[in-house]
Amino acid sequence: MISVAALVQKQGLPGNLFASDTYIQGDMELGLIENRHGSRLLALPDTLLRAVHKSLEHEVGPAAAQVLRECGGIWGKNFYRRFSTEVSDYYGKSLAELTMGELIQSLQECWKTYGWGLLDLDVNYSQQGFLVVKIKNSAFAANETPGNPSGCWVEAGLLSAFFSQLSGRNLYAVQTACESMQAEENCFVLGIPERVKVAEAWLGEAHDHQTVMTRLIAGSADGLPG
Amino acid sequence: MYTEFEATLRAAEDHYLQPQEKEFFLQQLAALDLGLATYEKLQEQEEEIFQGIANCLQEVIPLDQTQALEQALLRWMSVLRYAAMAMLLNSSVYLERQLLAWLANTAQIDPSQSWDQQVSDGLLRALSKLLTQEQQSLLHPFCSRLKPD
Repeated sequence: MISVAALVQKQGLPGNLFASDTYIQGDMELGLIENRHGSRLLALPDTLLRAVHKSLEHEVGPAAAQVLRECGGIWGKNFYRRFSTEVSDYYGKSLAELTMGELIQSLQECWKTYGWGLLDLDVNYSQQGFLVVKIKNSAFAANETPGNPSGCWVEAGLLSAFFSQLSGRNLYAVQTACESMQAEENCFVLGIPERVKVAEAWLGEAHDHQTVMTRLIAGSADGLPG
Repeated sequence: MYTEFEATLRAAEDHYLQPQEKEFFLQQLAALDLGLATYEKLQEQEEEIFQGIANCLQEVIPLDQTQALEQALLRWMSVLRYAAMAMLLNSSVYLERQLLAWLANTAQIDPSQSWDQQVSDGLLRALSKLLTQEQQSLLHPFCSRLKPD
């Protein structure tokens, strides 16, 4: 027999934790923004981000990609920690205990509220060991110089670290499409490094996202790396 | 939040409210009163409404679907609370940001969505019995946007 009163008492009535109206709060006079738990947030202006990209490229050349990926990785680990704590506190259960729907929904809403874009997960390749993440209106692509094939390295590092922490396995993200290169959305393929890194070479040959996925899946069916 | 209400007050910064403006102001106050009364009624009757829906549906669903029904009941309790608050604020934007996108996607992924329709139907029936015609008209614009797909 269902008791509605007991049900509400036991599970609570969670809503949208990351609804922007309630999640982001600020004090105009002090110029501070914080989230609903009182943690300070930092808004980075586009100009600063573009300047960081350009300066790095100027200072270290091609190694800028690796530096930015590492920065994204550190950011991703911290982001996972905060996301995990906030979501667990709100729902009253750990990330592992959330339904897939609750977890994906929370991540999408969080990504959107942080101003990073509209994130979508494509789990059609999960049987083959790959996860595809698609992001529209990516804040990271907006900071790329149009026509510069460097890609969204911070975003790739962030996704690698976040999903590595979430899955408990070391995952690597390869970007297969970029909005700064006139693609409809940013696409990333995540998988274990030895299987997914091979795609970086194919991208150098100017293959598109779908071709890369087809080749990755074919490689996975043959039992070959990638 | 009551943008016309605010606009009237802002417009009055360089003059006293004219009779027509005062009339409009009083109408808005009356609407707030009605909104609060509707909100309180929903608050008081929430448990009874959903217990009634649960009792009816429990008779017809398979035993292994109890958990799915519980999730659907919780989801629609949440929907009603947000709709009631949106009504009080007179803000469909509040509902949009707080709930709509979130709810649509959660229901899409969640296999328990099959009970959403039955709970939603039961809720609409209960509301039509509980609320006066005037109160229903006030809540309707918000509830009508929350039908399951």
